[in-house]
Parts: sequence; C-alpha cells; structure tokens
Amino acid sequence: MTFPETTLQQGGFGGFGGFGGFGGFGGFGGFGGFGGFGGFGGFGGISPSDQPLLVNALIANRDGIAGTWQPVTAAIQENNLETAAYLARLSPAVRGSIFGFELASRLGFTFDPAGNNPRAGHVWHLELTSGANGVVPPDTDYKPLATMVRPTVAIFRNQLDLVANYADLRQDRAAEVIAQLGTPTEFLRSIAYMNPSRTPFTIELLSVAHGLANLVEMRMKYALACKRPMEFSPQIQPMILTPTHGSLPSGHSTESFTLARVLWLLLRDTGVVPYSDDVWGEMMMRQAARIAINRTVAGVHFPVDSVAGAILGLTLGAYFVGRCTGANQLNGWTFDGAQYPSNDDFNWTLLYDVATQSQTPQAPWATQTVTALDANALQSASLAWLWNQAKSEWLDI
Amino acid sequence: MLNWYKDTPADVIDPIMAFRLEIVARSGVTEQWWSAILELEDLSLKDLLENARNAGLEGTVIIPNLYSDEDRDREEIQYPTVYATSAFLNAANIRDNPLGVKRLLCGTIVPDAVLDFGAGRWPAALPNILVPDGSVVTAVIDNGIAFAHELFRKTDPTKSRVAFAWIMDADPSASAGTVPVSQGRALANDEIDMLLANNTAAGLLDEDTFYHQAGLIDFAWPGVKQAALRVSHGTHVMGLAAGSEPGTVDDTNPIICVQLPTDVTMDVSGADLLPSLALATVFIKKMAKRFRYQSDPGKRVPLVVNFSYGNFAGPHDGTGIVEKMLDRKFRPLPNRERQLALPAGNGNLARSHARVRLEPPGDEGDEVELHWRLPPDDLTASYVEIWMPCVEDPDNLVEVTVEPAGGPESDPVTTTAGSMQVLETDQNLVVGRLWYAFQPSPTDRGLITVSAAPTFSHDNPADVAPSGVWKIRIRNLNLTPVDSVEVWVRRDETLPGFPRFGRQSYFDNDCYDRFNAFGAPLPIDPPGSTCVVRRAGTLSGFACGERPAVLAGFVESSGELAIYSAAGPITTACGASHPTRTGPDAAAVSDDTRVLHGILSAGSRNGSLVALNGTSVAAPQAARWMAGRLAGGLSGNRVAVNAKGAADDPGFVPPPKPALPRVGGGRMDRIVRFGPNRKA
Repeated sequence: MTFPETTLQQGGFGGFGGFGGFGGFGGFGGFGGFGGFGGFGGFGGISPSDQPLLVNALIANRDGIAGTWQPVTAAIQENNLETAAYLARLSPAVRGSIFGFELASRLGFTFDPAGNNPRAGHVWHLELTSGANGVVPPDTDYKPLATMVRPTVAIFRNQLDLVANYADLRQDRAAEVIAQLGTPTEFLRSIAYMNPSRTPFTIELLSVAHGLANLVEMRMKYALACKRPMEFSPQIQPMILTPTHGSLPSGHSTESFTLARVLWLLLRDTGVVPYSDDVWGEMMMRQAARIAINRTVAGVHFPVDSVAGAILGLTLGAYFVGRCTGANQLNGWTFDGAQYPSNDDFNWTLLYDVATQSQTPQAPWATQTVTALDANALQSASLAWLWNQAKSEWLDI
Repeated sequence: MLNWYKDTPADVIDPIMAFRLEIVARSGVTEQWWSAILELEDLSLKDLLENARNAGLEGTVIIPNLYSDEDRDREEIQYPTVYATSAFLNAANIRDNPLGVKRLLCGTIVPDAVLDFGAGRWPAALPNILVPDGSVVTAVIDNGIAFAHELFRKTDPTKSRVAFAWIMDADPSASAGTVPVSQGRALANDEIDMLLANNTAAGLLDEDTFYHQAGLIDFAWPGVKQAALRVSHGTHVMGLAAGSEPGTVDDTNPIICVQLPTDVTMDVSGADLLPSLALATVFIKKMAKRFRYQSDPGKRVPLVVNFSYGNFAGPHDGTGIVEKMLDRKFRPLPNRERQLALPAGNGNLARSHARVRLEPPGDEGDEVELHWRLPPDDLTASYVEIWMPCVEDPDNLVEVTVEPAGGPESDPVTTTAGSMQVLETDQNLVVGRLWYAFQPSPTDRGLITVSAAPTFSHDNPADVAPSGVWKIRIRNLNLTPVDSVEVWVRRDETLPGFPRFGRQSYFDNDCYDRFNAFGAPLPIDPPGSTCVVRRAGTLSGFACGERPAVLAGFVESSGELAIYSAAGPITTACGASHPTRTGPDAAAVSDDTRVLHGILSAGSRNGSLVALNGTSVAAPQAARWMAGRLAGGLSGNRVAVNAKGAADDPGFVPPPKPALPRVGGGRMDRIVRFGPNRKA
C-alpha cells in the first residue's frame, strides 16, 4: 500500500507521532483550527495490523502450533527505569503522550479579572525548585512565560478596515489559504529539506512543538474571548469557515512562528553549513508571516491577532527549545493589546531580528521579562532525546 | 415604466461629462474634487483663475503644484490637468463659457485624503542630474508598479535605477517632502535607496515593509493595491520597457514611474484616467528635463514614455483633447528628443464599433438599427458616441431614436443644437439621455451621445437603466452614401485584479459573425460582410494622434496577430487630406504561443516572472527599442518603429503579413525575452 508522500500523513508513521499523542487527549477541540489534524484518529482507530482476517488467523494459528502450556523458568532482565533510551522503542503516538505530558505538566495559566490588569491572561512555566522525595512532593515556583492583554473594541474596530482592504488579495491567495488550513510544516518543508522518510524525528519534533503552541494559544484565546471580524461587520464575508475559538492570538500565527523558530534553532544547533546563514532564518520567518497574513486575507483574523500570535509563537519556540536543550533563564514576553496602535498592520520584522536571532521589544505593547532559573532546570530528558534524534537527521554524511 | 421627454439643455460641449456629473451627484458621493484636462487657447492659468473668480467660481479649480509660476503665466494652446469641483466643470462645459475653457475632459473623483493642496509649488528650474553619455530616460505610467523589483535595480541591490516614483493614490502625509506633489506621494531616488537599504536583510528585500513605507501597499489605506497581487500590470510593463538583470545597466537608463490612482471604484459614472495621465506626463517631462550628459550638461537626455492603456471612444481622427495633448507634449524640439509608445488596444473583438453608411432618405437602407446590449449588474454608467462626418452644414444630417430594453422608443434627436431626449423612470429619475452637441474645432463635427445609468444599484434599486438590448436607430436626413457615421461604445470593463464593478456593453447585431466554420473567433471582418458592427476601426481612441508609436500584438510561434489586437483604419480629420495613420505602426509579440498566452516579465515580487498578454505588453517592447535607438543617437519615432516592423516582417513565413490596418509596418522581431523561451 502506498501512501502519498507528505509530511502530514504517512502509513509508517501510524497516525503521526506527536499528534497521535495529542489525539489521545481526546479530540482536543482546539485542533479544529488546523483541520488537517482532524484525520488523526490517535488511539481511536483499528491498527492496520489488527484487521479481523489476521486476528482470526492468528487465533487458529496458535491453536495449530503452540502446544501445551509450559511455565517460564528462564532468567528475565528488567528494563532500566525512567530512561530516554526507551523512547526509541515506542511508537510515535505513544511518545506523543509522553512529550505532551512533559510540556503540559510544567505549564500554568492564570487569569485574574480582579487583579492589576483585568484583561490579562498569564502563562507560567512551573519550575521544580527541589526534587521530590518519596511521598514528599517537589517544591515549585511559577515563572512568567507569556502575558497577553486583550485589545479594546476600538482597536479591533479600526483593525477591521485593514481586514476589509486585505480582501482584495483573496483570489490571489486562495490556494495558499486553503492549503494552510493544514500544518505549517508543509510550508516549512519547502524551505528546509524535510520528508517523512528522511527526517521523521524533525517532523515529530515540530509536531510536538505545534502541540505546545496549540495548547497555550487555545487557553489564551479562551480567556481573552476576542470576537472575530465577522462579528463586527456583515461585510467581511470570510472566504473560509471561521473557527469557533477567539480571534486573538491567531493560532496560525502562534503555531507558524513557534515552528519557524524551533526549526531554525534546530538547524543552527547542528552546526551544519549553510544553515547558520541568516537567509534561512529570514525565509522561515517570512513563511510564518505569510501564513499569518493569509488568515487576514481570508477574513478570519485581524492583523493585531497575528502580532499577538507572533509574539507568543516566538516566545514558545524559544521556550520549547529550552525544554529540549536546557537553559538557565526564561525569556517571558508580554503583549499588551490595549496599547497596540490601532491602525497598525502586522509587521514581523518589528518583533524578531534575524541577525541577532532575538525577539525585539516594542514598548509599550511588546516587552520582555527575563527570569533566572536553576541550571538546566528547564530541560526535559525525553524532549532532549527527541531533539538529538532530530538533530542527527541534518548532520552531513 | 419608463418614458421619454424632450428637454432643452444648456449648450454643452461634452454631454457625457454632464451626464456623469449628474449621476455622481445623485449617487450621494460627497467627494468634492475631480481631475480634468482643460484645453486653453491663448489663456494662461493665472487668467483662468481670474476668470473663475469673476464668474463667482473662486476656489472651485485648483492648479496642481507641478505648474510653476512661469507655467502659470504662459499663454498658449495648452492642456493642463486641474482639480475642479462639479460647479466649475459644469460651467466650463458650456460652449463659449466666460472661463475661457475651450474643451475639457473629466477624469475621476479624487478623494480628499490623497490631495495635498499645501504642497510647495515647483520652481521653473530644477537642478540637473548628470548621467553618462549614451543614457536615455524611460518613463512608465501605469497601475500597480512594484518598482523595487530587481530588474529595476543596479549592481548594488540597495541602489535603484528608479529616479522618481510618483504614487498618485498614496497617503500624502507619509511623504518625506523631497518631491512635493498635490496628489499622493512622490519618492526620489535617494529615498528609494534608503528604503531598500533599511529593508534588506540576509540579502533579501523585505518587500512587505518596503512598499508599506513607500506608500504603495498600505492596507490601512483604501483602494486596490495591484502591486500586492502576484501579477501586476505596471510591474510587468515596466519590466519590458526598462527592466534589466541587475548588474547589466546601472546609470545609463534611469526610470521615472507614475502609478495612476486606483481608487476609482466609487465613480459610478465611469472613471477616466486620462487627466491623470496628462498630469503624469507633466511630472515626467519636468523630471526628465533634469537629466543631462556629464560631458555636455547643455544637452538633454532623450526620453521615452510608455503608457499601456487604451480606450474605445473618441473621434478617432486625432483631434480629441488627449490626442492633441499628447501630440503637443511630445512634439520634436531641437535638442530635446521625446517619444511615446501606446498600445493599439484590445478591443478587436469587443463589438464596440459600428460604421454606418445610409442610403438617401426614402430609399431602402436609409436606416440602421444598432442593438446595444447593456449587461445586467453593471454598476457604472454606459455610453455610446455617434460621430458625424465632416460636412459643410452639420445641421439635420441624421435623426436618432433610442428604444431601451422594454421600450418605449424616444422621439428623434437630430444633429441640431439643443436637440435632446431624456429617459426617466416613473419616479422621475433620469436613467438615460440622448443628446446632440457639436464638437468644436479642431474636431469640427457633430456628436450624438446615448447615456445609460448603471443597470444595478444596491442603494437605489429603482434608479437604474434596464439591462438588455437597447435599439439605437439612425435614419438618414441629408447624408450621401459615401458619408460614414462612426459609432463607438465607451470602455466600461473592470480590469484584472480590480473588484468587479463595470461591465462592458456592446453591439449585439445578428449580422455580426463571431466565429468561423470551425468555431474559432474571426479576427477580421469576413470578406463581403455588410454588417455595420465591425472589427475594423476599433483602435484605441487616444492612440489616433499623429506622433505616438502605436503597437499591435502578435503570437510569436504562429506569427498571427493576436485576436484581440485592435484594428484601424481611423477617420480623416475635418479639413485634412488623409488620416494621421491607417492603424498601429508595427506589431510586437504579445503572446508566446496560441496556448501559452502572454509573455514573461517581472512579477510583483523579486525573483518572479509572470505572463501577461494584450497590446499593453507590446507597446513597452517598442519603447525599449526606441530607447535603445535614441541612446545611440538614432531616430526612435513612430516612423522608425514602422520601418523596423517592415524590415523584420519578411522573417515571419508563413503566414503572410497581416493586413495594414492591423499590423502597420509589420511584425517586429522579439525585442526582449525574460526567462525561458516558452515557444521553443
């Protein structure tokens, strides 16, 4: 049986590693945003190996050859406990659950309507400050990762003019808009040489990062509950189905920028020429921005949604790589939507500098908070394993 | 229920303009300013303002800042573009008006937001710009010009060959002010270079930010951003006219480009960009004058202008206001070489022209009925122009009636001053008009116009003209069988990339055979056809002047003329012994093959080549050739283009050379090829 060669679906990939795992989270309504993921049955479906004919044959087959039961007396060597090497034996779907747990178990979210800023949602990284011992739980501390403040209705209303003007590009961008309902990986693989047979772990790494972005953005969208453009005007008439979740931050923007940053950091980490050249980073960021802007063309997002998504995505991208490779500080970012200049379009170059590979602050609406962490407290052993597997796919032969 | 009534109109020169102003006034659009070309004879701009003041019309006409004090003092035949209110335009449209306006042509509504009447007036003399010997300036007037494309850059990718770029519909408030303009925003070379340098990272130009900062593509600003599309007309055309691979041409071919306003969609009366064209030529001429040779600063660098735009209407004898304006602006002067390339137009199969010859009254054939089909959902007004022949006594030549779809038929309008019929709805809304007006010298012939309101309106569904076939009947009164009445439909279609707005009306007479026996479109009128609706005579209305080089398009692989490429002949001007031209001067490639339409040139974004067809892409190739000739000190006028076509044409066998009214001198060899040879 031949499967189409795309990064999305490949038979051998059995429901796509990382996302198989996320499938396990049960429908994860959030993924509705990326319709392409709907196809991933995750744990639900019948494996191609367990078709009824084969199952019945195996039953009859055992009766035919197994003979009388014999008790086991041979020595059995136990597996090592909690070891990353074990991951290589697991299906991508199972690994997806483990990676998902690693990421989600260290996140926190608060929203305090009565607090200092009644419109702000906060994402936290949960740091373990001392190890657990027996039944004694670890000491923990929440460190700021991302804060988003909802823009005012006046800002969204002004942004609506931009949305209306972008509609002129719809015919030009229709193919991209539809194709980008799927994963941004399809568009990044046209820049970096990814193929399910050549770079399965890179694709798995990106899908895990994608899952992180999706988790966080959906939680934030839920909290901020921003109305979509079509809720402001009947004349926007989006060219695609408007998703049920809130408008800001843009999920496409968050996910594309997360993936763009993770991928470029991975390629740079390999030390392989020419990936350290700025043009690779420039192209990946352009791609992310194009995907984000196409959602405005389609009529489902305000430019400010893309701004918020880009800040969140860039932040999560760096954070994710920190979880893989370790870091002794956490770079948290705040997007204050209420301070955003209401007529301004989305411009990614204001938010990220390719030459220095760093996010750039734009006071007063985009600001950074750096928090020191214990050495390597950020790193997850299982994520580090995945990172190294992915990295090895790019080394020169 | 519609009915006609007779009205006694003011004695206007341009009935279509009068109808346009009325339609717009009624549509509730509150924009104040229109662009318009005036024809002034022995009247200075200062005197015009004085006349306006005396007529109680002070402040209703604004002279753009490009016109210097000296320009404003000059008394000569001149064709200034001005901004004017409907009050001024209506007053100036009256024959022998006290303002001193001889003729005028109304352009588009210009939104207040793009106007900057505070822009500083240009001095008479601007500083020289020295360029190497052998240089030539190329200017392009178009729409959607992505001027940062690499084909317009120097060896250093942060240096542009574009000397000046005027974006007529940009936000003026973002202007750096180095080139003050009354409308939109103009950038000089150093500003463009600075934007290129600031927005280049990792060897790639961030075009989103570049064009945003340049004011070309700002989504917070209204209007269509053609250059934001993958294929943009202006970028493609400018690539053909002056594009060069980076590193091949640095300083010897500076470019001046002007983007005409694109925000014309609010004009339900049918916008006309020609006044903006005229203003663009003033800008270009003044800027081009500054280019001098390093070795001899007294000598002016030659200029070639390309304007790939066509229309259907006009007298087609070279006497129209735009034709006269272009002939005057590009007249040869000692030490000042200026040439203009125009497309023949794409209206060959548009069924936009009828040639009517009538038998004596009472004989069979003394009447012709034209079936003018108005499409439904046409959001702009539609017009037909019925031009009379030159005769001693212009009165009572023919009588014309109009029966709109569903009736009733009007009473006749004759070629007599003040003859007019008005079509109104039962709610007394005027939705059509039939109107005679004699066109003054140098045209000197009668014109009957049929005007129809839009056939659809969201705001006023009752205030529309009926779509369907309108029967226009022309009956002979005093013409001889050799006199021709020439009829054209005005162009009304929506251009690619623009929101669907206008729809093209056409003549739908049964006698017109569209296809041959195999079902292919017939590119020429079938031999022996007596049908009044004709392919012959569809040449773009303002391409009928004496001086511009006019280009047809042909298919490179087959050598056949493109089926859309419009045809001559044109009409002989009154008092002239022969017409200014028989048709285009030559043909250039406009399609690579019959199935690979168009030819490749610059797409909107760097590194991209896209295909576009039409005579729009033929003209700039000729402009490129003309520029090369002028740079070498050779002649590069329309005669030279014609001779080039004639010299190259024998290379195309088969088929034989197309007929003269469609091809002129002949088919020119391929001038420039970007990308692969698609016909190979």
